[in-house]
Formats: sequence, structure tokens, C-alpha cells
Amino acid sequence: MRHTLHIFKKDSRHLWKEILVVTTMIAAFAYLGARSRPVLTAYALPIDRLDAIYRLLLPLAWWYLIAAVVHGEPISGDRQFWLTRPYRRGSLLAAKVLFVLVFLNLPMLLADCVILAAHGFKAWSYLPGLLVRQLLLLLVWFLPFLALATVTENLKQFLLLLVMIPVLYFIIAFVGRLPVFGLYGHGEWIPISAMIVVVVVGTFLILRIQYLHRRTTLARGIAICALPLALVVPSFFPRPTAYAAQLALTHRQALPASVVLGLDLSRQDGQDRNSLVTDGEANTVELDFPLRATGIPQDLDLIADHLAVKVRTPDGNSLNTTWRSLMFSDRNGQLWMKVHIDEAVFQKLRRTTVTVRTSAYLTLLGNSRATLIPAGAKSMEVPGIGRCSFLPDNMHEWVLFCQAPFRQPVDFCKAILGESEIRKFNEALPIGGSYSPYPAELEVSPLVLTFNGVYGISRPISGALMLTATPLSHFHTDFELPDVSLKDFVLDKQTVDSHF
Amino acid sequence: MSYAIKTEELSKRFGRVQALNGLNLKVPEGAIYALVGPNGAGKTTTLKLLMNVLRPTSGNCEVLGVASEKLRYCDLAVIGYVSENQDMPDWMTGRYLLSYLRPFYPTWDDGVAYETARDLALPLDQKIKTLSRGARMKLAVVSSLTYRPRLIVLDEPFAGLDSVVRDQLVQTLLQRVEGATVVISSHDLHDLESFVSHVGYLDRGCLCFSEEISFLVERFREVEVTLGATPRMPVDWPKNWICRESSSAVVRFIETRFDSESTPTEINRRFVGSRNVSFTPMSLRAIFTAVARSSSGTA
Repeated sequence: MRHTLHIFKKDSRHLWKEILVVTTMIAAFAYLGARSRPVLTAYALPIDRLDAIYRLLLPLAWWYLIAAVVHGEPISGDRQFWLTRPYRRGSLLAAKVLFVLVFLNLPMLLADCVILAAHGFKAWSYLPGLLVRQLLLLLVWFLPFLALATVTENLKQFLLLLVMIPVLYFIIAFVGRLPVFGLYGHGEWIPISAMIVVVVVGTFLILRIQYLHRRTTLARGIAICALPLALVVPSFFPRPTAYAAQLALTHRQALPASVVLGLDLSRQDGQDRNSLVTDGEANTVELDFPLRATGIPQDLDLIADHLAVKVRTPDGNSLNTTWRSLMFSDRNGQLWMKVHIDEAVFQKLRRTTVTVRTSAYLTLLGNSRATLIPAGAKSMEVPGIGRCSFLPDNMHEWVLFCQAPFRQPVDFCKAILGESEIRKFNEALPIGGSYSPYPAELEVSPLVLTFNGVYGISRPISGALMLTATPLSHFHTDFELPDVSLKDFVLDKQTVDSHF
Repeated sequence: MSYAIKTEELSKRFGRVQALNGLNLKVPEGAIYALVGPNGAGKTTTLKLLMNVLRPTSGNCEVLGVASEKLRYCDLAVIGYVSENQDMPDWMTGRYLLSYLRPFYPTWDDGVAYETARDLALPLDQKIKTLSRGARMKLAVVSSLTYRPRLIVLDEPFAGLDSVVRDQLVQTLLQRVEGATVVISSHDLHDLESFVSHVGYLDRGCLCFSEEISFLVERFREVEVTLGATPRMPVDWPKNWICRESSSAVVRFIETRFDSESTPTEINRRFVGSRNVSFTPMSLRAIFTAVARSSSGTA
């Protein structure tokens, strides 16, 4: 410990200018976070835009300081004076980690408290979130870069490595045709946890190898493997596995056993078609299947976390649809399953009847509540969602947004404005709702935007009604839609018929 | 005899370059050992392997009875290492460097540190980056002698230094290293011959010889053979006769295993009818020049 403190003092003395710059930047981050509004509209104030940019810049300042402190005693290379001095390697690593804790974690902790307080949250009410956020900052934002700094000889090499990370990601994404983050919706925390595990294990191995054995080539090899793996895990993590894990981690209730899903034959004629159009992939056809769900207790809503839809042809072949399948209720409360199918496959099958098989990970929502957010409300608490504001952005547009400390809330939410007062409201799906058990997420900012909507409103309104519901139970079910003719379920029948 | 340094078949390869090839080196405790050889011979690599700065490709090395790869902080606390190509913390002043290093060494003696610095006229309040090459080397030496190390490893400590600074460093070294083993590398023996007890010659990664200087001087002789009327040159030359030169009447070479009894007999056997044979002792410098010429193939 004596050596740890001794090295720490030396680093603090050496890097006082860098510490001052980074501390000032963190203070500015706190100021901007406290003063800015998280929603960027065409009429956003400069401070709001600056805050958004600043969140991208701040990590660079963190990493610069981390690299500077590591390169005080570089691990890589054979000319460093400290290599032949009686340094305890454990003390050296501990000194670097202590430096990060004191000059990055501590200021960030204070900045978090300032930002929370400025937005009406009492920091000590969110102590687990506050602490877990610091742990995540340390494990994911700080230490991995400390580990990367140990495999570089100087700042130039480190900066080059930093540039390589996004380049590497885009190459992998381009070559592997990766879908972007956000695939997992409410279960996003599972692939993110997998990524954190990869990052933490990689970091631990590199730090151990470098500080105890100083084997830079091996450590670089681990970094080369761990970096792409960490980057692709959130995209490649099998979605069924994610939801199966989610299911395994939550207690099953007896309730969902009664839920049965099937085709709603009364709506099979295609009338009363919903209006939700999603961005399909190129060369795909969008199909909407009307569903009927029975056995759902009153006052509970059903949402699908993940659907794996396969089409079984009369000759016994099974064809996968794209990953974009989803289930939703329309404005009349009718349940739909939207499936995207390859255009060539659709062409082949359009004159035959097929069986649509679905493996669904579902969640029941309950404990619905409604909270009125008056127009002009600057910061109002909405239970389960955080604090919400409903403010005019210009003469005709109003912004409704909610924020919560550290993580997306467990509850789902949906805002409703009077029908006659809405011009651009097409929000049909509830948003929010993270199943994560962690009290904090991997964000740069301590505040998470839990709801965000911009509405064009032509005449005065009293407010917005925020509907919230809590996920009560997750379950898995398989169901079949037998003998269906796909062309009967194409979203825009006329367009598709004329097209084909 | 116990050895402060011992290597067995120590080899180091950098890509395609074989920097060290099966080095077997033994440095007795208490010796002042000069490791000499031309540039690129593998001296710095050897010392870095000993200090565990580099990892060997094969073979073993021990320093003060501990395998180099297992040297711990407590072992390094009794070893001093000074290298001309070591990066110092340039932002520190000499005074701060000394005070920074103090807690790492249980045997650190501030009195010795500042006395040595004063003797060497070292400007302690200047930042290291502003120091001259000589002053940096002085500081490195001061910071490595102050804790009375059992072993001091100096890698080309006098390279690029003027003779005044060099003499100051040598004097300081000799004053402060009583009882310690010193290993000092140089490409120029002239820097070292006045005070070293042992010497090893390294060339292209191989150790040509390693022994006490008195033995070395004893076994090298410059031989001049004056031939008879009908000179007959030997058909095969022993390997220990190097740097051969001949004219019509005289043959000169260097005997590397001189023995006052066997060498004259051997010469008389090979140079039948020779008129005169003379043996001249050699200076260290002459020995190294001869060895260097011999191993580079120019002799």
C-alpha cells in the first residue's frame, strides 16, 4: 500500500495539468448535464447541442488521462527505467487503478450527483444506481482502456488504437452485415451483459499478463481477439438465447399457461387493417397476421419480446423470415403479428397455402396507471418512468420527454394526447421497459431518456396522459397459423397486387 | 566459487536476427567484469536478459542465485542497472528522482546519494530532460549506487562521454562498489582496462573468451619466427595461432594459448630450420584488436 500511494503521488504530481483539464471537463459535463434538455429538436438551444457533442468528447478526455498515467511506467518496450527498479507489480497496477478512481470515478460521482439534483432527483435515493454506475464506468469505460494503454508504448500508438476501434467495428459490421444495436429491445441487457463479460475478462487477462508477466505480444493477441468479440457480441448474440436466459432468470408464473394464440379468423378478410408500417429490408414483403389471444386475464396486456417465425410449405420445407417480426396492438386493441418475408420466397408461395409457425417470447403487462402531465410542466414525477416535462418547443410543436437516473425503467409507457389535437402522433407501441436487473446502464450521462416525443399541436391542450404498465411475467409459447395464403396478409394489398 | 551471474546456453532471437547464440557466461562474485565486443555483438541484449527486461528465446540465466525471469522487487532492490539507452522520467528533477526512488530501497542512504551527487557536481535541481548526456549518466549512476547494491550492471556507461566525466564516473564507481560485483559493457576496452578484474569478449552473439585479465595477458603472445635459408611453411596451422602474417624471411602470428614450455617446442616442430623465435607480451588493447580481426575474418 505504501508503494501504491507513493506511485500514485508521483503520477498526481506529474500529470497535474492533465488532471486539471479533465476535472474541468467533467465539471463542464456536470454543468451542461444540469442545464441542458436531452431532446434535440430543430429548435434546440446551443447548450443542448453542446451537451450532446460533449458526451462524445468526454470519454476521449478520460482515455487520454488513463493513457498518460499508464505511460508514466510503460509496460511495453525495453527501455523504461522502472523495469530494473524494485517496483512491486501489484502496487504499480493498484496505483494506476487508484489514480482512475480518484481522478475519474470520484469527479464523475460528484458530477452525477449535481446532474441528478439539477433535474429534481435526490442522489442518495438512488445509491445502488450511483454505485453500480461507478462500477460500470470503471469496468467498461476506464479499465479496458487502461489495459489497452499497457499494450502500447506511447500516446501516439494509443490514439491510433482508439481510432482503430470504430474502424474495426464498421469493417466487421460491413463485412458481417451486422444489424445495429437495439435488436433486443427490452432484453438488451443480456447481450450487453455478455459484452461486459468479454470486456471484463479481456481486461483482467491483459492487466494480469502485462503487470505480472509483461508479455506484450500475448496481451496484444488477447486485445486483438477480445476487441472484435466485444464489438460484435451485442449484434451476434442469438436472440432466442437472450430471451431464454431472460426466462430462466425470472420466475415463471402459473398465469401464462392459459394464454393461447392463434389466427383471428374474423379479421382474416383483411378489413380493418392497421396502419403501422415498419422499415422493411430491401426485397422483403410485409405481412400482417391478425391474432387472437385467449386466456389473458382482464386488465393485462400482452407484448412480444421476440418472435421467430418460420413458414412451412406444403412440400415440407421450412423457411425463415427476417428477424424483424413483431407483435402489437392497434388503436382498436386488436392484436397483430407483423412478419417480413423475402420477396422471392413470397412470389414462390403466394399461390399456395402454408403453415406459419411462431416461437414467441412474451410478456404480460399489468398494474396499468395513467398520469396526466399538464402542458407546460417543467419537471413532474411520473411513477415508474422518472420525471417528465411537457413544454412548447415553438409555436406549434410540443416536446414531451421523461428522464430517469441511471437506467431505463422497468415499466413500459405510452403517451396519449387528445385525438383531435394530434398531427404527428403515430406511436402505437409502448416504449421503455428494460428487464435489466442492474440499477445502472452503460451510459455516459447519469440520466437516461425514458420517453421522448415531439408533437405538432394546432390548438391549446391541457396535457398528455402517460400510460404506464409493469411487466409481470415472461413466458415462451409456440403457435401455428395453419393453411394460410400469404397474399391475403400483405400489408397493402392493392399495391402489392399491382406490383406483382 | 560462487557466481553473481551465470548463464547456460542463453540465446535470443529477434525475428531473423540471432542476437545471442548459446551464451555460457559466469561472473564470479566480487569481480569487476568487462563485457566487451564490437557494436551489435549482443552485449546490451545479454544485460537486458540478465535483468529480465527481455525474455530469452532459449537457455537460462541466473542473477545472484535467482533465475532472471523470477527476479522480484526484493531482488532488484540489491541490483543497480545503468544503461545509456534507458528512458529516464524526463519531467523529474534529479532531486525528485532520488527522493522518489528512496522508498523502493530498504538500504537507501540519502547521505551517500547527496555526497556522490556533490562529488560528481551533479545539478540536482534541473529537470532530467535539460541535463547533458554526461549529467544524465551521472544521475543514473548515483541513483544506482546509493543503496549499496550487491550487483551493478552498467551498459555502455561511458559511451559518448568526455574523458573528464568518464574518469569521474570510474572514480565514483570504484569508491562506492566495495564488495559488490560489477558487470560493465563497452565496445571500447580502453574505457575499462585500468580497473576491471575479468573480461569477456562477445562477438556476433557468441562469447569468444571469458577470464581473469591476468590469465588473458599471460596466454596471449605476439610470436615472430625468423625463417632459415630454405623456409618451409607449416601445412596446417593450429587454431590458436591467429592473425598470421608472413614475408619471405619472417612469419608473425599471435599465440592465444601461450605456454612457456609447449609453445616453443610446437613452433620448432612446425618451422623446421627456423633461425630465431621471439615472444612478445601483448597489451589488452592489442589482444582485443587481434581477436576482433581474427573473428571478423580479416586476419
